[in-house]
Amino acid sequence: MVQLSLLLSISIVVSIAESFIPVFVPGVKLGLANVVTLYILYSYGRKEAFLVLIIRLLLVSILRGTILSYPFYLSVSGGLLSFVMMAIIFKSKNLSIIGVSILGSLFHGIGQILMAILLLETSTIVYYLPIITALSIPSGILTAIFARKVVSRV
Amino acid sequence: MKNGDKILIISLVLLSFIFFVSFRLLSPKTDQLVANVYYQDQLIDSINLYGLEPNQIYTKEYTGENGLIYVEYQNGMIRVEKETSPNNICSIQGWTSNQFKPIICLPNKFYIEIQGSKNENETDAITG
Repeated sequence: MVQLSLLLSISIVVSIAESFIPVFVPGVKLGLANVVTLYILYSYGRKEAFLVLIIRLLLVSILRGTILSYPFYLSVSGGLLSFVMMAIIFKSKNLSIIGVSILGSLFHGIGQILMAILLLETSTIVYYLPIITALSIPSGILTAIFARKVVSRV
Repeated sequence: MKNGDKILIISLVLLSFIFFVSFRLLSPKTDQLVANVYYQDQLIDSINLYGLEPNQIYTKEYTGENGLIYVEYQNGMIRVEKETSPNNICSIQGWTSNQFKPIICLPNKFYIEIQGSKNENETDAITG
């Protein structure tokens, strides 16, 4: 329990810290907090990872003052969809943590695009799909590299 | 890196390529570009981006959720020049001249969509 709360605070700090890194494509972020999610998923299990994720999403948006507004709904939809896919697939023998992370990154983007389409009631946003799909590969690999180092040391 | 990972990566690369190509092919080609400006899901303005004086930049102001949004446009292109939003996420997108690159400014509940796309090959986005 103590470990989980420590991990939670790490993920909150990482999440806020990376929001200061500028990106060139709207809606894209490095997703470094996902390293924590991956770690908890592999080391503890689905329930714990889900719990930490949900609390992290709530606390980060409260701290940033974005709760119950567009950015909050976007991060929740992205985070949840990404988590669901990762939780389903992470036990698979065909995918390593890299594949799971890429999938998580991809569905995070898809979840956000779907929510943005819902919020703005336009399908124009679907045009971001190609670049989001492509970028999910490097960002997924990046988080997986970090997560793998942590998981192997424990 | 397991086999499944490699298959996943390759299929995603293919998939993004397919999305990219099919979106381009499915759009009607026209030189008469029109920019539609939306605020809070309502169309509030429609700007003709054709037939304008060449090399002349026009400006318009709109009120968004966080304040004023300054839009600049010229023949065939439009952009958000200045606005109030975290990281200036709206103006950082720069000029757009086709419907595949809408300018979406969620913090201000504001977006600009272009109808039609020019008959040219151009890069979609440059990252890195």
